[in-house]
This record gives sequence, structure tokens and C-alpha cells, in this order.
Amino acid sequence: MKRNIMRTISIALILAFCISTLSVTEAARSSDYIISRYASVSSAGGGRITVNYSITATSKMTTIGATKVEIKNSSGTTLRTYKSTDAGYEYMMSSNIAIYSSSVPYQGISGNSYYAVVYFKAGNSSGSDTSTYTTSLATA
Amino acid sequence: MSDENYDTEPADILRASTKEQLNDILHNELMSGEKNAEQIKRVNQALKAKSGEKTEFDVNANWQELKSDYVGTEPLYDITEEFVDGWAYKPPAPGKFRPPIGVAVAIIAVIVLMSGTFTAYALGYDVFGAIVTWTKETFGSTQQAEAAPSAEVPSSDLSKLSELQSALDEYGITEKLAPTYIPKGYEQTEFHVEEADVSTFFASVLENEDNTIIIQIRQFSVAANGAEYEKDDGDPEIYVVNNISHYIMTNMGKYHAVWKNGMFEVSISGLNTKEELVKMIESIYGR
Repeated sequence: MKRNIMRTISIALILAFCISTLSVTEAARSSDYIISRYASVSSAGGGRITVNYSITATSKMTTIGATKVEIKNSSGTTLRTYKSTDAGYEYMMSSNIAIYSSSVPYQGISGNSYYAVVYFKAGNSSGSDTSTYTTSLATA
Repeated sequence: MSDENYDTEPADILRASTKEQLNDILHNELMSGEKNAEQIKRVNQALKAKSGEKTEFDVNANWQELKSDYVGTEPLYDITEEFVDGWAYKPPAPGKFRPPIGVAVAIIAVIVLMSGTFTAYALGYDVFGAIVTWTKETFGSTQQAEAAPSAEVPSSDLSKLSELQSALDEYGITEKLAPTYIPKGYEQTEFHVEEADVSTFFASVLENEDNTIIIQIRQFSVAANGAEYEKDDGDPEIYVVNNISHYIMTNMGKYHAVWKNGMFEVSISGLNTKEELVKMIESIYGR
């Protein structure tokens, strides 16, 4: 019985250590490649919305931009995913600049609310980093 | 030698010559390019013997005679006209020394050559550069004096950030947002103005050999979330200037500051030292 109690305490301590380590890692979110990122959703009229985004790197990068943009409804359901690897959306990424801004349009339903999750990436010959930004809700 | 016949003039022939002939011989000898001192001496002795008086050579009289006999009515150069570059020739006053025409021609030639050289320098062509070293040094020191300002890189160069301030002015933004100071040696390599529905974004990227500084200004038209910044662990330091809290932090050891000023979000990123970052912040408010 006493051995079981000690085993439980040990497992609890190990888990607590792991959890605290993860939270510290999350708090110390520094990057060699990314300074900041920003995104917003705005209504363009007629149920159409636009996701604007920008990423600022620490210096000129060989790849910079958004690799993916997810359009979600107010309940969190993903309605559409745009990828920079998709035909016609290569412009979501750019190269040889330190700051890149672009936008993605989405045809929604008037009166419905949407938000977006933007997946950013910046990198050069030394490596790369990724980060995300979740926008506020906007009514189409 | 003015006339080759006088080269072999024997003394007895000189003694047999009249005073006028001897004067002619003397005159021609004195005006010749290569004067024969012995010949002049012999002619003088003959003249002295003829008149029993000491013969003196009148330079002015011979100069006037020479002009009337050999120069003619038109001068080779109009020496009364002003030369280029303000160089002027003043005819000698009466009674003063008048240089022989050969000397005058030589002076004119030197003046023309020098004025031509000045013109050539003005056109960027160094005539003397390959010929006379000291002339190059003289002009070289002038060139050094002219080159000095461009060699000195100002530590604070408003022109590097003039585009950012001009853009803010164009958008009618009067708030103090753009720094006027940037550390030494940085050049703007990117400039952005991006208009979106909820915000307008202004940014300037400044680079030197091994670092990048980025200034970002975002103007919001509605209340909205701002950008998210990467940072090292630890709380930001709050630096208050002009009643505005500037949040100073580091990202991978590089300093950056983020602050809000009304509907504007401003950031300066990438500084190697906190002192330089603070200096940039203070320059916004004219400190």
C-alpha cells in the first residue's frame, strides 16, 4: 500500500514537471526568424470576407508568408482551407523580403460570423520557424 | 645669331665701317636669339674708337625700333583683352621694363596652357595628372576636401526615414510615431504601406552589414487585436516617455519595443543594444 502511494506521488511529480516545462516553453516563444505576425478578417459585402495577414521576419528571408489559412465559423468548424501549395495560391508565400503582407478571400453567407487561423512561416538557408495567429470573429 | 655674315666679321672690317653700320650690326646682334658676346664687344670697341665716346645700348629705343621694323602693325596676340579665368594682361606703363616679345609669347603660352588645364579639371579630365605630381597633389588635396563629407556617415540621418514620415504625412497622421534617429550605417532596404479594411500598415526595413532594424506602425480604424510579437522569457520592461508606456523586451537577444498610441500600434525591432533602442524611442518625441 505504502509502495503504491509512493509510486503515485512519483508519477504525479513527473507529470507536474513535464507540464510546467511545457508551459515555460510556451511562454518563452522566441524566434530567430519571426518578429511578429498579424491577421484580421473583414467583410467585403455580399457575404464575402477577406482575410488580411502580414508577417515580419528578423531579416530578409528566402521563404516568408502564410503556408495555410483556415476559415472557420463561429462554432470552430473549418469551412475552407487555403494552402500556398494549391494552384492559384502560391502568392500566399514570397521570398527575399523581411515583411510580407497578403490576403485571401472567402465567399460566406451574409449575416454569418467567421474567423481565420493563419499559419505563418519564415526561413532561410539556416533554418525556419512557424507560428499561428487566430483572428477575431467578423460578420459577413 | 641674326645674320650669319656678322659671324666672321674681322676687326679691320669693323673699323672700316661707318658709325651707322656699326650701330646696325650691334642692333642686330643684340636682338638675335644667340648673342655673340665677343662680336658685341668688338663692335662696341669699334664704335668707341669711331666717336671717342662710350656707347650705351638704349633698350627702350631698340624695343620701339624692333616693333616698328619686325613686328608690324598687328600684334600676334591681343594682349589688351582679358584672358580666361580672370587672368588679365596689363601692358607695362611707359618707362617701365617691357619684356622681349619671345618672353611675352612664352608667358602667354603658359597662361593659355594653365587656363586650359583648369578648364580640363573642371570637366573632370586631369591633364597634369600623368605629368606633374605636385599638381595632382594640389588638386588631390582639394578633392580630398570635397570627398570628406561623403566619407563621414552621419549617426542620425533623417533621409533614411524620410519615406516613412512622408507616408505618415500623406495619410494625415500627425501623431509622433516615426523615429528621427537610426544607428550609424543603416540603409533602408524595404518600405511598405499596406491598406486593409481594419488597419493601414507602414513599415521600414533598415539594414547594415550584419543586422536588420524594423520599424512598424499600424493604424487601426476600429478596435481590434494587434500583432503578436515573439519574445524571450521574462517580463517586458516598461519605459515611459511622453506619458506613453513603451514595452521593451528581447527576442533571441535582440531588443525591441512595442507600444500603443491611440489607434496606433508601433514597434521597433532588432536593436543590438537597449541604449540604441531607447535613443530611437526618444527621438520620436524630439528628445
